[in-house]
Amino acid sequence: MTTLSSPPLSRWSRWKADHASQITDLRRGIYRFSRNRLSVIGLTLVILLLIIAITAPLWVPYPGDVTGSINMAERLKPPSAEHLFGTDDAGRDVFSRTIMATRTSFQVGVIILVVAITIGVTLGAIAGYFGGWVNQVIMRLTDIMLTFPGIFLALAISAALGRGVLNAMLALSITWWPGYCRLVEAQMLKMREEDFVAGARAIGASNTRIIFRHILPNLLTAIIIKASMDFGFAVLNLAALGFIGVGVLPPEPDWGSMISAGRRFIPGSWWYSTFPGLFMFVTVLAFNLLGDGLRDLLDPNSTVRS
Amino acid sequence: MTQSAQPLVEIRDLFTEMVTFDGVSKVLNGVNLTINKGDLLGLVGETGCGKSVTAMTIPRLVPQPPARYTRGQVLFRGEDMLTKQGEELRQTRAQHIGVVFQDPMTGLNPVFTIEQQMVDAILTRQQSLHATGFFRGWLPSNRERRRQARERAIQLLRRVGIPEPEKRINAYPHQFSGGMRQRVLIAMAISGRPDLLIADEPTTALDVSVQAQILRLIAELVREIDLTVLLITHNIGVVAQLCNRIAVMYAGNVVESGPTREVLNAPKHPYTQGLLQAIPSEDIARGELVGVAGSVPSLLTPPPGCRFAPRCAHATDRCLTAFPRTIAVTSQHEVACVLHEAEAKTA
Amino acid sequence: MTILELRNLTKVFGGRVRAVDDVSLTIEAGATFGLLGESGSGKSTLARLIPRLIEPTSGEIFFEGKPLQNLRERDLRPVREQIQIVFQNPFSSLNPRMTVRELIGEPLYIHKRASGAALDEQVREMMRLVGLNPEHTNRFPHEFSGGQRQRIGIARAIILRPKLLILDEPTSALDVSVQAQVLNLLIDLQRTLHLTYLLITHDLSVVRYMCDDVALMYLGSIVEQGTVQRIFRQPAHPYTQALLRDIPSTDPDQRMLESVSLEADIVSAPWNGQGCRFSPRCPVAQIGECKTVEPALVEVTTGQRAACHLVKPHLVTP
Repeated sequence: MTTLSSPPLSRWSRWKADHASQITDLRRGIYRFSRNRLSVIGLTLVILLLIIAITAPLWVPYPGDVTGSINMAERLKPPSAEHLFGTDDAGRDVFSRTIMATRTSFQVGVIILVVAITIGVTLGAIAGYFGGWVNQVIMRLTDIMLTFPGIFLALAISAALGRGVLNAMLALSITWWPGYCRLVEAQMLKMREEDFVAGARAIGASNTRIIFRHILPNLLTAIIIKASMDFGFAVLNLAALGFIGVGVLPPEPDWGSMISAGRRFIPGSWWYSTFPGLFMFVTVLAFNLLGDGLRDLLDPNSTVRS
Repeated sequence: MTQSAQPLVEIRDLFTEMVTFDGVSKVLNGVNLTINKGDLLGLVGETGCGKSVTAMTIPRLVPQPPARYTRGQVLFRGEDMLTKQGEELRQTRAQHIGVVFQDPMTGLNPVFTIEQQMVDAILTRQQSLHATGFFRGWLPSNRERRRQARERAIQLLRRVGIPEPEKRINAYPHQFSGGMRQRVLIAMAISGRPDLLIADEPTTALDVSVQAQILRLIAELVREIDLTVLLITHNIGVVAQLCNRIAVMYAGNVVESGPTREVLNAPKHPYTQGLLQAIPSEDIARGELVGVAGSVPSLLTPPPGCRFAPRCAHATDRCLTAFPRTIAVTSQHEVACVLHEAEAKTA
Repeated sequence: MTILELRNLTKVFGGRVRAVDDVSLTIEAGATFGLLGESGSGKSTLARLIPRLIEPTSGEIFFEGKPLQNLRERDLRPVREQIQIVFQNPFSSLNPRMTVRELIGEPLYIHKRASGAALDEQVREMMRLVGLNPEHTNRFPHEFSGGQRQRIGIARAIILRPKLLILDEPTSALDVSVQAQVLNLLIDLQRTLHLTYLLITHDLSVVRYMCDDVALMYLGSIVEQGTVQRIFRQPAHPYTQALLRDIPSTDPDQRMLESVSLEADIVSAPWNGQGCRFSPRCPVAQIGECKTVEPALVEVTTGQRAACHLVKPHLVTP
């Protein structure tokens, strides 16, 4: 009765009171995460790369070089104040191109993982929960998919549909979902035996409810951790496709194709391949470190003791 | 047993904290505990009372961090374990202390046979005497040592009641039942002829009939070899049947200790009394079980006085503020409660 | 009035393991029936067979006279509202991602009994009933102690006002002082809500305290059955006798360790499928029949039945 004085504040404090548990959990998670120095480094790097990817078009010094202008006069210049990472064989600024390639890599990585997780989790959940012949069909299909090396599949798809970033994405998504399918299926088989799932059935919950409300939220941790680790590798694979010439089409900047093109000028013009390679390395490392840290952050059952 | 009681372990005024996100948990709050040679001491208490931390501090198996010893001494054979480190600590553990853990399922490595694990345990103990370094398993003389270790392992298995130990020693842990695994773990723990055996809830995961077998085995071993046992359990019945002495812990303190018979027949501390009343027994009618009201306090912000005071029916204002001192009610029976101060003067 | 009847209920896993083997029993409305057994006795499987969380291999289940074994999943749902389970492990039986409000309110939501503010109100009332602080509806299970979690499990099970509550080792993961509180809560709830309990446990003292009738299971089959008074005063089966001997008494003057007990265990002395299933571990003199003929559950005295060749009705004094 007496606390009606300031409605906006009370709504906020009410929300805070209602979600006190979540807030404490989050703070406990952050505390645990922050105690692992490597994962903090991973997170910092990921955030940095993300900022670079999002804002790159606003500040790269030579936006023209990114879309493929040629300046033979500036060909293969070593790093300098003008060209931080030097220039390539067409006189383009390696710094601008490496930075813009971060953007491409992140876009493609996100799309690959979203597609792969959507397919993989759905199929894995169905296979794991229902078992029997449904499981057999889905899991054998998964096995078949896993036997194809991603790069070859990508080559085949490129051969059939033509080169280009879209087809590379398609190819990588197809090679990526079986991992999630396997993960979710295995966890599902385990979770199905948990008491709380039996309990949900005992109170009359439907299969859909059990899968989506009871089991999947508990698998989120595992999926997010795997996604974080995979992101780096998805970027690496995209670069590999670029390296062998079936990924991102030139003149679009891409780490793989830049390393590939720069190969011919090593050791004289070392900067051409080195800087894109370094960015790639940092990206993969950052996401792996982050994945490790997330495990601690997201597990609701890890004990209060740190 | 009483006149020439020689202390093997003396824990004096031990304070321990655990550093957690939520704050510093005051896990042990001035624990005093003496284990004499030849004792079978039962350390009783409920989840989180600090009984495992107390016991595992003797071999220093409590990870640091999060644990932090802020005060006190843990004397084992007269030496302070809290100041030992590295190789010296490892030597003491290997030669003088055996530990049996609660869960016989995870105590053995599933990918090695019983022989491999036992021989390793025995050799590791010997190696601490003559360190041969990296190539130990490869030298011919060591092959002979392995053979001898195997012989000893078979002997030990026979002693703990594994039938046909020559054959069974080649089995994998999953081929054994829970009771048999616990026997193997006991055999491994006593393989170094330790002075002290620490058994942390050794029968909690077992069925009653198997529990009885294991308890009988421990009783026999104590009689046969010169062994002192610290048994950690939450089951007072187990202590009543097996141990000659009992120590009851509550929220980081030993609240009562003494000869089992004396303590269980005439419990002095309100918590001990409550614990005994909480066990359903023959003459308690349905719905009449009393138990201990309330719940264990948070050790992050423990009660300032007696930690049991908030749940105690006899608590006075003094209990809420002043920490009770330990009083000897008889020569060996001690209790940390102000209710018995009068008795102390007469005793 | 009989609320639950099982006739020759059998569950075979993987074509070989007879987890529940030809079990028949009757539970009267309002009673507390204890099912005692050690690990591997099949008691938890039996608990899950009753509301058909596991499908029985053969046999019949009657709930209030209605046969359940042929009902389709959809027709089973109203029956499952009447039969609820409280699970053993308060740490694994609650979904760690759900708040207490969601956990306790979920049955109401699923059966469309209440929603919104009405649901919240019922949840809070239920929390008060089982002795939880109704302010804590937004907390997650891991913020509670073992005893409190088991109270959440109980609240979730009784919010639909079932008739039969299956308690699968409800206190075996709890400390004694907490166990006493939970057992007393169960007794109170039974009185106020007119519940029937099937209490599954390995703890004889809990059965003695809580139950009217008791059945002892060994390797999937009932070996002795009767009123608690009779079974605890005068156990007929050698297995029951051994179990009663092996509970460590808190009275140090009652020496248990000096007495003889059972040899080996279920795994190291396996039953070969012939004769009495307890015979490999049986401490008393064995007659030839023990190894060849499976003993039937026969009446020993009024209110007590045992499956043992060595127990003859006239040998037991009434």
